[in-house]
Amino acid sequence: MSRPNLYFVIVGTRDNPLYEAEFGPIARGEVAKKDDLRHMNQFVVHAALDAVDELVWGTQAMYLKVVDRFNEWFVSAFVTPGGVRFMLLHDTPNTDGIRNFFLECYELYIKVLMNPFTEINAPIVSGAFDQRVRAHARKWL
Amino acid sequence: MSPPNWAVINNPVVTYAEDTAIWSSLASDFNSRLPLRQLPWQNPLRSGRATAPGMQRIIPTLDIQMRPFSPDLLPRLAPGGLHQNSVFMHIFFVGCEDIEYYKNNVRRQLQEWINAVSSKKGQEWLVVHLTGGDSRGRAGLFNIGAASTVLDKIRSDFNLKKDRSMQFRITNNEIKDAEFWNELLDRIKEGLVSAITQQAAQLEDDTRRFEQQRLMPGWNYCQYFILKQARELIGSSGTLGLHSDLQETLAFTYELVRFFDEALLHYDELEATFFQTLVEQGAPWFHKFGGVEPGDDCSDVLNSDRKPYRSMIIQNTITIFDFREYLFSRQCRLIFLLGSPADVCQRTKMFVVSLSKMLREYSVSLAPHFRESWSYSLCMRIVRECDAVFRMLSMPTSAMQVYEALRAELLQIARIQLDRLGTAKKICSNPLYLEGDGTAPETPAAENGRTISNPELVQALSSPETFGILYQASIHVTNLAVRGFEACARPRSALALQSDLAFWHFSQEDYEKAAEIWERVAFRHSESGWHHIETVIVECLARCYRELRRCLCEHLDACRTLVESCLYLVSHPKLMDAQKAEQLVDELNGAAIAMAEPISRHMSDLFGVSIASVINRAGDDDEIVIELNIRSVLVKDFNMTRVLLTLTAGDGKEMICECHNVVLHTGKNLARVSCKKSTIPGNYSPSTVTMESGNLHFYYDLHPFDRKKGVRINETAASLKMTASLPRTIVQGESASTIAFEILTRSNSVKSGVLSISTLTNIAFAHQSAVRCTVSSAGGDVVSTKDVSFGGGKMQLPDAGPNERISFALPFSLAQDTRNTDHKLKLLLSCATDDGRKRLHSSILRVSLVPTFAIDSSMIHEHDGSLIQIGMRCKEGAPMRVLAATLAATGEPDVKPIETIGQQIAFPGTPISLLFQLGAAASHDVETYTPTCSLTLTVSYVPVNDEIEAFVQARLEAVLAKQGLSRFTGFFFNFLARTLLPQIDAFESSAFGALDFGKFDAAALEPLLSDEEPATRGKLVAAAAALWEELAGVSLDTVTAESKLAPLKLVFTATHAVPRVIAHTCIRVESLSDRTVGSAIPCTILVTPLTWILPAKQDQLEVELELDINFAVFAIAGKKRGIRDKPAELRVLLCPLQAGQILLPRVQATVLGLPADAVSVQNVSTGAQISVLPRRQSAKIFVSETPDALKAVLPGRIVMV
Repeated sequence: MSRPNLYFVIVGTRDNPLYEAEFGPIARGEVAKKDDLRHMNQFVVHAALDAVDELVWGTQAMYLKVVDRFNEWFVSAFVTPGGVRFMLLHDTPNTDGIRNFFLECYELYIKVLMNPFTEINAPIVSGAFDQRVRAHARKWL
Repeated sequence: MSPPNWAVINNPVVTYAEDTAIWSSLASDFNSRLPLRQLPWQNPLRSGRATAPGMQRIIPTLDIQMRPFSPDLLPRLAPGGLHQNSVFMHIFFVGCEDIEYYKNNVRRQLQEWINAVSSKKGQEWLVVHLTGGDSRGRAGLFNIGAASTVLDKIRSDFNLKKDRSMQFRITNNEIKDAEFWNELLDRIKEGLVSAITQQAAQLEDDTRRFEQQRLMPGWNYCQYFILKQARELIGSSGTLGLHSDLQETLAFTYELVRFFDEALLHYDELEATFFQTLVEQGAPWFHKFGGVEPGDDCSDVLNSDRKPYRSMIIQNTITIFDFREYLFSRQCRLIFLLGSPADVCQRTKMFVVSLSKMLREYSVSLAPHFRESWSYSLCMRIVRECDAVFRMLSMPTSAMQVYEALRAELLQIARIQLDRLGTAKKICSNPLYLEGDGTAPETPAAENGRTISNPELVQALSSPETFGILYQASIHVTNLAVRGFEACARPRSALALQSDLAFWHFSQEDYEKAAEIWERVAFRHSESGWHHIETVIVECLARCYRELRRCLCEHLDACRTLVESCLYLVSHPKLMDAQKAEQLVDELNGAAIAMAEPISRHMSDLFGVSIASVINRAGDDDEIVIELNIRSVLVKDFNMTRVLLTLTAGDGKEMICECHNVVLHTGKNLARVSCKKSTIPGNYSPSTVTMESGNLHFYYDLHPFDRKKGVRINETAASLKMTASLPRTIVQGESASTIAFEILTRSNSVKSGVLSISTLTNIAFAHQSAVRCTVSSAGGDVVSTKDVSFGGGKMQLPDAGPNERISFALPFSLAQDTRNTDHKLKLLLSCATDDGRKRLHSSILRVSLVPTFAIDSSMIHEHDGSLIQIGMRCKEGAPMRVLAATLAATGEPDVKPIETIGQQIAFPGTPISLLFQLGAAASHDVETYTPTCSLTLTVSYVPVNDEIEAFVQARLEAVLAKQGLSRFTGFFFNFLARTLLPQIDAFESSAFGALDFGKFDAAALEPLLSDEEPATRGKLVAAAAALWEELAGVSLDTVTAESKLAPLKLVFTATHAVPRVIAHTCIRVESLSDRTVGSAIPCTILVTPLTWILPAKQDQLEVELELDINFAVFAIAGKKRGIRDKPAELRVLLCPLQAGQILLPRVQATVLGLPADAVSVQNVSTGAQISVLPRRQSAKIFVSETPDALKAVLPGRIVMV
């Protein structure tokens, strides 16, 4: 399978992606293909934001579980109280693992926000944040 | 039209048995009372999922089916018990009225029947004994007793309680019959509910028990499923005794009693359990995956009778594929019955996604493109069915929106399958779905010999044309889906769908349609940072317009959009490979030049601009050169046809530096822009940089740090100059009411000029309908005049060429409370140059409402002429050199200065008196005589400061010309104006006649020449030193001689009366004796007419004389008032009443017969006094008065008639 198994994106309140990451095993020589298909992940996740916007009004939970499906892909979402959306594109349902992953990422995101130099809705370029998100992805996903 | 398969609902069955053929006569009446209404229901054990615990639910209506009793109808006790038997109640109708007949025949039948029905759990039964009109007719009173006896006998024989038996009496009376019918129906309702409750309780127990055994070896999900489903169809009572086979029936139960929501919940539980056991145990109980039968890819999923699913489940021969379809069809059926097509769509989407993944895993065993065909067929089938249901429902708008969204998603899934199929068959291509796992692998599936069976798809895939027809139909559907997404406020999904549509058109080479859609979609994702999506779309859009441009040269919009697309793409080079990025840069270059209309980009990320350095050379003709640092992020060289830098000063004044054909390499570049120095002085700071590549324009606002790197443009001899001052004409007695404006164009020209005048102090200019504007040449010749209107502070100026002067005057008014005489005006002149460019000139002017000289005049008439005395006082400020003062009078009188007026310095506040004598003109006569004379004084003067400045400039020009540095005159003069001239005190210079220019400060000059070559710099410093040497020890006379400054002129006008006759009156004391208080003093009043202005005439002059006597001082003897024509003397005696110096009485004379303005009476004895002594005073004072002396003072002719 050429596409990475998981695509995680943090979407700001202005619908702008703040952080993007792809997890999962990638076969050798498929890096270029991965880049070519990255738009596909964005397409699916971007369209799923509509569903998140609808569902967020129907629950008080931050974890919205699977909000959308595209072919055999699932889109799980987590909405912070500030309206930032964590979206995960995955191919296997793993509700509890994804929930834990989102919660860990939420903690990391809060830490990033606590940096006085962080601007709301600014892309997260911190290398430490990226490393820790990937570590949590390995752990929970 | 038959209802859809899913809409057919089973009804609970009630069987009937009879001893005689009674039911046929009752059936019509019984059926007319169906369905049963208002059945109370309470879940016996666990509360219903859809209801609160313990809550009673009402079944509104329930139809039942009456069937004749047969032992076959009873649920069998066979393993599995999977027959969804819906028999719940049994009724035996006894029509026998003869007790013997009962004993012999009926009792045995009844016994057998009761044995059969009571042996089954969850079955209710009832014995009804009918009596009717026939029996009554036959037996009369006897039969009544017999009827009751038969029922009693039955009850006693079978030990029946009242709830198991009843008597039904038919009386042919509608009211009474209704009571009996109601009682029968109530019994049936109770029985049904009781039976269903029992079955549900039993099923619930069994289900729970079976569920607990899930992890035990040998547990079978299919059996569990059947049991669970039985709960839905609780009528299958025969299965209840088995623990292991029955589950699905559970859900059936609720369906029978119309509790579709309860039934659906049980199916949901079944589904969840399926997935859970699938994860935990795999699926060993399933036969195969399935999906290999013909028609599996396009079967009617809503038809659960399509295959014997239940039998297959019981026999463990069902496949996973069939099982999932069956489960889904049951769920959909229940949701349809609940009247919620939106939920069907939602579940369909989940089902497609879920099963599609499984289909991919088993794709080897399936037909090629089975997954796509199945997904497409399912989605389209569900959408069609949902639409049919939706049309029959009336739903609120919010629910409609939800349905539209979900429906649109299904349509999108269906169309994606078409995309995949088309891509796999190389009929179309959609880069959005070119993922490696998106299409089914061809090779393994192709070997198994299976093919998809959806006739629609089979036909479509046979040729590109047929595929196009199908896709076009799907496009229509997709458009509906887009509208659905937009209607339900899901813009992102709508965008994605529109992109898909565009890709289809693109693959069909319908570039116009594709571009039309993409134009709506493009650049909407990048706004929020989804650049990967945007790149794909914009890249396709660019290709689209590239093709359009190639096909249709005049397609101008294609160029424009192509450029916009390329711009986006080249700004994100990381999203594509280097070669493609380079191609895009080339394409951008080409398209930008071919573009018809300009495209502007403000602060594009492609380039970055900053100011590297500013070179402002000192020469008057030198250019201003500014070096720009331009950073390019493009991956390849990019040609800019022009780079412009706009420098702006206040009030919109601007200067534009430019350079042409700049090649910008990747990374840093240095571009030099230059321009001639503006003729409009000011501090110019760089503001914007414009880079043009054909019609592609990039605008960059410079950083505030760069804006500080400005250049100073000083006023030169070529600069347009605007001045405002009081008019140079002063009328005595009148205050200034207008301000004169002058615009010297110098090297500029003014076309379509609009002058805006705004006041910064308490002075105002009122609206004027006609202001006379005069355009004059440098020599003073009037070129043209034009009346223009002035309103709102603006006026249109007449056109003027270089070296011309536009002058006009505007009346002003002052605020009442202002005492300020200095005012500020701001003039802004907007005009066009010869090349059509707009230019702005601005200036802030100071206007003093005090004229340079304050002038007054007075006139004294003498016997042979009049003396004119003019006083002139220079206002505060700098001293003035008065060059000349000339006086002219109207009527050509002879005016000559009494003393010669030479050049003199007028210091502020110091008065200057000028004395002129006005004599009679030779040509005067009575006809040309006018009683007033207008005097005009013209003063020529030069401000000493200006004189010194002009002198310095003349010397400067001479020195620079001598050294060949004339082009630096402007620079040097500005330098001197800032450093040298402010040091010179005009008062001191004027007072002492010498100037002190101080010492040359080279350190102040050298920094200003930093942009010059060292050699030039040395020459300029040497020239400055030479100039200082030249200026050393210069006297003011030299300054005056060399300055050659054109004098300023001030015109002063005054009007004085010039009477034709001047009557001199005086009172003359005749006696020289002592004058004491009370003594009589003889006096003579004399009147002497003077007519020097006109030749003497022998006219009669009648004079009325009157003495103005203060009677406290004088007593008078004689007439103090009288008209005298002859003699010209009037004699009176005055008697002083006081001692001391006493003023003589004033003589008033009025010449009769002449107009008042033709006569001037001059009392020459005004102020004359006499000395009066007191009577008793011993000392005497003698005052000598000589009448001759008086005559000398008052000469002239006295003509008395």
